Amino acid sequence: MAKYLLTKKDLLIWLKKLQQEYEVLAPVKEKKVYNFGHWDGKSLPDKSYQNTLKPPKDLFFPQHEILLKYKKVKGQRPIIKAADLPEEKRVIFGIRPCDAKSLSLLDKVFLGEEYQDPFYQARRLNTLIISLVCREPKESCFCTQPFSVEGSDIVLFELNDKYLVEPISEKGKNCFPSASYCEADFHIIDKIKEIKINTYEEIASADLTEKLDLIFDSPIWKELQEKCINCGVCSFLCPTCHCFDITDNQQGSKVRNWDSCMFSGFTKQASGHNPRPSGTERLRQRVMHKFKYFPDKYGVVACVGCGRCVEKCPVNLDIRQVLLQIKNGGEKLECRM
Amino acid sequence: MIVLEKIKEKAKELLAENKVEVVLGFTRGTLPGKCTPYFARKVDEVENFVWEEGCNHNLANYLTKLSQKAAIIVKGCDSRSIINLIKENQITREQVYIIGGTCPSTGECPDCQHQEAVIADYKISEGEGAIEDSFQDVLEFEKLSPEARKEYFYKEASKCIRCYACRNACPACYCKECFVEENLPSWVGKTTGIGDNIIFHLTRAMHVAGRCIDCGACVRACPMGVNLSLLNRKMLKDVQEMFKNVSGLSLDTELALNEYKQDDSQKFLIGGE
Repeated sequence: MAKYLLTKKDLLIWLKKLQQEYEVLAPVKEKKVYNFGHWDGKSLPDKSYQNTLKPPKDLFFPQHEILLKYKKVKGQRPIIKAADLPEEKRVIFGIRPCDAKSLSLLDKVFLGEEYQDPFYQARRLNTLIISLVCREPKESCFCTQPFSVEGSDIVLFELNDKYLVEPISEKGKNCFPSASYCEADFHIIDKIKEIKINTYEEIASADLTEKLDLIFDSPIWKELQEKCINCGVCSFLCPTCHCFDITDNQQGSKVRNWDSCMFSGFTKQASGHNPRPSGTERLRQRVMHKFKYFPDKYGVVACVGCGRCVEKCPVNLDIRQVLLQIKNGGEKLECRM
Repeated sequence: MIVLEKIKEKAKELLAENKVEVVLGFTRGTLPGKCTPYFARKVDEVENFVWEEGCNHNLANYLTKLSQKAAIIVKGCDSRSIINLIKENQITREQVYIIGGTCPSTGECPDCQHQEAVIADYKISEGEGAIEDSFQDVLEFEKLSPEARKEYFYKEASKCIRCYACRNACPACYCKECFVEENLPSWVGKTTGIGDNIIFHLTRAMHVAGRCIDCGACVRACPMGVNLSLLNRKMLKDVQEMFKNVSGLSLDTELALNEYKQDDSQKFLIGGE
């Protein structure tokens, strides 16, 4: 596909133009960490930007969302009103390819054949994804496809002071004024290869899924989870974890909140029985869902290797180590520093 | 003999002589500067232990979940949490063998008064002893207007994503069912709106008042950088002033809020003396 070379100034002009029509979200720095926020119209992420602390999923699937409101009137049928669909047109600029890919995984769940979530759908349709390829991965990163274009409408590569722009989707092609820029020649495109990537072997490969098939009852889960404190850091910071709970609030609304399979209440039944009574079953569930059930159902693992869970786990329970240990029957990952 | 060698020697001895079934400590983590909790059950596994910068998680947290007779390698804060867990009948003194050291992390907790284990069956190092807490940070904070204090707490709590890492990393938070999980009826909403977030954090702070030993596990565990240690430290200061009580220092002292005396201070009540 055609790639175009833009100067920093060209890029800013184009983004400013988009800002007339869209709300442009970009990585915004606050006290050393980045999160997506309103773009100030002038700055571009500098070298300190590796990725956002929070994944982009809450821009499409918010942590808390009202689905419908109801009102009971005595002697009449209740009045039920679905929540309004979000209409804001947005651009997400500077999202990393791993996170863009995570959106294509969430699409399988929320826009799949079985179910279509109208709220998620509206946000996805109204949002243009402009991703920015990493220059240098973090220590905790373990993606194997740093140049993945999946989930992106337009992909940007940073090359010294210039940007190589590649429109991917129809939506991306329509939003990029390609006639205004020259196509990049192959010498420049070759420079992309100089971008540093971690050399992780594919941790979540097909043989892992096969292995998981055999070890549901293995004692390895008890051993792996022993240090887990069963908090929700890994699932809430995971770009692909998407489990939720629907409850009623006292103002007469059905609300959807993020939930985590790490929590004891996640599977607790009305009788008080809990089919996943301890951390062993819960950790197993999280690993199985990502690397067995999701691939079984959709043909791809539900992990993009962004490393947020690795970096933020309070007890350094490293998913890479968990997977290697499962694959190799016990071998541990050494610290690489 | 260096501290780590003494730890390993003791751990090997305890496992070899079947005095304990598991030794809790730390091993090197997978990221630079990080250590991770480690459970050694065999003598040769003891070699994986480390005792260095990054060994900062509060290991006492695991004792309530272990059914086996365990040894635990502790620094000051872990040892104080163990005292509280024993005082509150969550574990027994006999169930745990305490290998007491001095915190290997430096400079991470500026207000730490007890880097050295306050209770131990075997001491591996002598620290510099306890330092008096001046509560300078709390005194400064108390000078602010109520609006400014509220603004600070709201700003911190608004970052919370309700992952409960703070609660789960806290050895004082051992409730089998936490109030946030009550749902018949629900006690606190599940949203990350400021109302729900502040109720969660304030209730937790009140619940650990008189039991929190300011180990900082909650702050370290938080992925979002929520820091409410001022709130915990204010509780600590109040309990110390009103009840002349500092928890987690001795097995002979009751926790302030676990007993009642006729002449207890009533100052914490609205309109109290």
